Amino acid sequence: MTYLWIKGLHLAAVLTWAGGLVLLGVTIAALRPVGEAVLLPHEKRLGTAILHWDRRVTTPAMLAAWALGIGLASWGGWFGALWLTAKLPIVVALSGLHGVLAATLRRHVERHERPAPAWLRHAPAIAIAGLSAIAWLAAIKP
Amino acid sequence: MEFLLPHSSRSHPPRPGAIPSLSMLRRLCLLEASTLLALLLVAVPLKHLAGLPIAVSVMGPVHGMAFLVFCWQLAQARTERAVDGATTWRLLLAAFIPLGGFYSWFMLGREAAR
Repeated sequence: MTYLWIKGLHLAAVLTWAGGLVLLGVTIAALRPVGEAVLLPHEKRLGTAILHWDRRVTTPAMLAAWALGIGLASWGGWFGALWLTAKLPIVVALSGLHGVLAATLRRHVERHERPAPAWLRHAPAIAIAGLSAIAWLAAIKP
Repeated sequence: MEFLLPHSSRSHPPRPGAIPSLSMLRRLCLLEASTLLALLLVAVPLKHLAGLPIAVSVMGPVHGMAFLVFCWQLAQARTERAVDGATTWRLLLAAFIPLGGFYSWFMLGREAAR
């Protein structure tokens, strides 16, 4: 019963993290064409709000998803299972993507620094592909 | 501090905003290295020599969490240009080697003090 509760909390944390990650990706992709130009006040206000959301909701959700996921894998004896071995590098990659996106938005909004690298325009698609792969691996457990 | 900056930024002084990210990264190097050593030198011997698999069951997840936080902070530090590309790969590689994280901690501290 406790295992199911932790699993539910893990899913809630993952969904919250996924939402924040896609939000960050879409924001960076939208702000990228701005380049070296100064952000408009409403763009800056939106960027600041998304950074606040990231600090207070998305990042804690990511940490909770990691902790609860590691706990579930340990409790359930899943370490060594093929599906989890395949899932872990994707989790690390998505965590790295989240770090890159959050730091890029911070540079963009708070320090008015150079535009994001070109590959970040694909960030939402990368996030969706990674999250889909994780969902498939966790549900099917091949 | 020179080597921590990307080539394009070497003629400019380091940004003040890069320093908190670097000091946090340094602390995480220490945490990651400590948990890896605890796992390899304490938990694994306890499992195999003393028949206590619970030690690995506890330390494994703790190290996994520390490694993930380290990777996340490393990605942020690289994006904020607190470290250059080559240093990023060195820090990541060192995280897989026992005592490597202690070397990273020492190296980052020495360079930041310059």
